Amino acid sequence: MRRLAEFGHRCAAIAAAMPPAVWGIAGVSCVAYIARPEFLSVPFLLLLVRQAAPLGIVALGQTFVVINRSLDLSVGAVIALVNIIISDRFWIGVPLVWIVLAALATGLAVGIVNGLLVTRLRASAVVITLGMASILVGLGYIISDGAPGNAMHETIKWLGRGRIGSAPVSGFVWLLLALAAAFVLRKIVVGTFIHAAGDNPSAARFSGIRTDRVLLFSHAVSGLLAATGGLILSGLIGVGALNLGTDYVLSSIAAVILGGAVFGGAAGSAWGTVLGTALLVMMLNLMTVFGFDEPGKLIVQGMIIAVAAGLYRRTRRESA
Amino acid sequence: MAALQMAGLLRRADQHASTFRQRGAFAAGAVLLVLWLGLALVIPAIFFSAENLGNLMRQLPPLLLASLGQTFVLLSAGFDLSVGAVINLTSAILTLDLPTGAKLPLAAVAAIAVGTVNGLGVVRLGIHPIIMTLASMSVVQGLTFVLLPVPGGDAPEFLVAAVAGSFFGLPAGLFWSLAAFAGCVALMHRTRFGLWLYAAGENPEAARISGLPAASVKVSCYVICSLLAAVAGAYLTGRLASGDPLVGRSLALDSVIGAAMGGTLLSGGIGGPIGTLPGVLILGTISNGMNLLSISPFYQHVFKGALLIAAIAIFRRKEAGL
Repeated sequence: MRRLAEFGHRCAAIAAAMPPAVWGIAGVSCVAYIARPEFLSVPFLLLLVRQAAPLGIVALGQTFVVINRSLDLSVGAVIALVNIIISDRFWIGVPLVWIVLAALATGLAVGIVNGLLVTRLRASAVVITLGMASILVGLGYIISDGAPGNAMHETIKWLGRGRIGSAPVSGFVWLLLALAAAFVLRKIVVGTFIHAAGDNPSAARFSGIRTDRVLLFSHAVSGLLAATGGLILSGLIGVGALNLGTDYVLSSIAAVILGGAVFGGAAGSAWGTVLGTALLVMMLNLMTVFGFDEPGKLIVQGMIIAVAAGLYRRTRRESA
Repeated sequence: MAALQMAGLLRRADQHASTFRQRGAFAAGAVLLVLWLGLALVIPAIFFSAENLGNLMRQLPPLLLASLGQTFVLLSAGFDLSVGAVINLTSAILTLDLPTGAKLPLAAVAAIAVGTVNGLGVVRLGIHPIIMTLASMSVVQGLTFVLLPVPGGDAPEFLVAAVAGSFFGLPAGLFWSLAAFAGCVALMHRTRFGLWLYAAGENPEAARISGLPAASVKVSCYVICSLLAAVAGAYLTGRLASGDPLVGRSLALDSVIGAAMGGTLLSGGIGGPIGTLPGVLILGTISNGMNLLSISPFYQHVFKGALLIAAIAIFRRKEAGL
């Protein structure tokens, strides 16, 4: 009998420690199963994966900075700038490698500059990355002269839209990057440092961790992954567009929160963020199925973020 | 004992209020003077023409109102991203097909409700201010779209008159600004609330232990911010003479820039509404000046971002991060 009670307690503890996205996905799946079973069919879910992949990749980068007690509000502008750069007529006839390198280098450079500014100036990451976003949007306008091109390399389109069998290519990219992110965050020492610096910066510094370098690394990863997400999203859209990815800033933060990160604290994980992204995309699509339009979605999305943040915070604090 | 402690804490907060905390206001004022001198040398006839100054007085009140509200939240070590959405909601409510007598209280109640929910979420549930106001921004914007899907509707006539009119030959907007500024400065520097806010923003733990109502002070800041956003929404609605569900879109971030330029730190406790006035004037002067110098709006984006980073770089903190 006591064993049973112990087992119950342990189950409850595990349940409380699971990211909110797990419960959300379970709830959304139940609703879908009862009301619209076809929503859970494999072809439709694979369609959702293709739609979710760019956001999922951007959110993986956001996970690094959020765990590190920072924030990257420039991801949307990085996506927009990457899209404008790689859709430029300049790239017609240029080998794919250079295009991809240009895109990734852009993101990496932005991330490094963000990281340097945040660590050197000791200024608020919110303001730095906001300022950076404004600069990047302006650069995008200047480069494209307000009229983005539509020279999208076929392979980039394939990355965004293509399929291997019936599985989307972008889904595989997302999976690979999630594996890599989980590896970095869990298995190698940088990940431990990121968690330590996010949990208690002073303690981490006194333990000899060079917190500035760790934070710089996190911002660089975020910039790099935002550019990767921008590359995939550009492939999915297939043309250049002004202001692509504006809503990815908030959605990526939402995905990280739903994935169990506590803002200004060290919790959060790569797989949690993958689940958070899945929940966000499933929920918004299910709402479309039920005929909700934009206002309803905004309201429900906001409430879910607040509830997830509030509940998770509470259970964490009680168990601590 | 606690009373003594509290008295000591408040005295310290008071002494700091005038000099250390306001250094940002001096810096912003100096920058503003330099800017104006520069413009006086380059394009005096255009910038200092009665027409352009009148335009500035009509354009800047919404930004000033929103930035003043944001200043209070920043002082409490918070952050309010829902400012823009509250402005939009006010615009939607004020152009509903209801009697005017009902619309104004409704808009005020809505703003107070949003502020209270934000504050309670931050204080009671321990949700990070950015996440909390991000969530409420989403909800409030959704409600706004329900009430007013597309721009339209008629603004109350007295509101249009109160914005478009002029007194003593000066645009009404100037008086909206002066009233809000004077009110905020009085609240910050002439009441106990202001003192509590400095004390609680700088060191919440010490404030709580000394028996300050730190939680209520924080919640009040969010309510003040939402109310000032609602006033900004009313001004914009009167100016357009109609409703627009996205009229305040850029003001959530611009209000942070305005407050930060005026020397209010995002980590709380340092700065104040006095600095926000020159902060907002710098922003207004720069975008106005760049328009007058016919600099492409593309470059203005870049310039604005660089300016924000430069403004924040002046005030270093101990800890990197949020």
